[in-house]
Amino acid sequence: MCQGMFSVPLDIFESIHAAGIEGIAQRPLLTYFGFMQETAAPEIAPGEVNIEQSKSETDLEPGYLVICWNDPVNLMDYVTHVFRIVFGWARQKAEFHMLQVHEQGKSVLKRESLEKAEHYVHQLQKYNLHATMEPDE
Amino acid sequence: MKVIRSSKEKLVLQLSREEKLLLIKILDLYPLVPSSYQQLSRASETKDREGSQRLLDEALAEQRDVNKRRLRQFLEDPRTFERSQGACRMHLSQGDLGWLLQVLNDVRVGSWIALGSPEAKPPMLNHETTPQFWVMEIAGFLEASLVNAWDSEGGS
Repeated sequence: MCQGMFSVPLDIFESIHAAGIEGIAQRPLLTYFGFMQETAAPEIAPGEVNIEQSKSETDLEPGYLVICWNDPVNLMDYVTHVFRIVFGWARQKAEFHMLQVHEQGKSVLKRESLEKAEHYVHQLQKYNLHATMEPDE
Repeated sequence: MKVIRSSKEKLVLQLSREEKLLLIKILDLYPLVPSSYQQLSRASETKDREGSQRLLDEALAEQRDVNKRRLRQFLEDPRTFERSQGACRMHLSQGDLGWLLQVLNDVRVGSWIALGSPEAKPPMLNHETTPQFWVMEIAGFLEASLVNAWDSEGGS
């Protein structure tokens, strides 16, 4: 299908999420380059993000990947619909992962703690999608 | 199957008599997917694999029981199917759509498994496999109609 639809690489959102700094996209650009000014010692100004401290527990625990595998029976529109319901994704992101499943045989949908990964796998399997969780090594 | 009315909360579809009969026949087949079909993980070293797999099996079995109850209530509720000029109108809430899709897809996937989980080529059709093949196709048609009706009208 048309790859031009995805002008912004969607995995950038995954990277931001994985880093636990989701608010970064909404903040003024200068905030993030402020620390590059010449200062004797690095300081964190009020309102800036302390990346080390803002890492969520999920980033520190051993992670599990929630993976959806291709199969010849689940319809493409159905898979997109299920991704939207289970993860609350916009259509474009859900279609991106559905096409990845279809064309590459699998798509990594989330990286989560054990409990959350189990939850998502259960949700996807309720809809009879071929989903598993695998240790993130 | 035609969309009559759609909002975030409700979907009203018009079905011909034949479509309604097909839908009910397909729904009556639920559940078809064997209980041991789903695996939690492909990796052998997942933490407490057996315990987690058992919990998953129990959760899926519970979900099937809930869906069976909902399905019975849905089919027995006189407000579900409303007669309309030789056809009928089916009333669905957003909540109904979720479990109804699960039920239809279970019938589709279950028929596919019964056919031997064929990969690319369609299965050899004979007197045993032909009914399963058509159940799989019709369940897929109904499923796609519901998804498209909901999506095209700006539903969830």
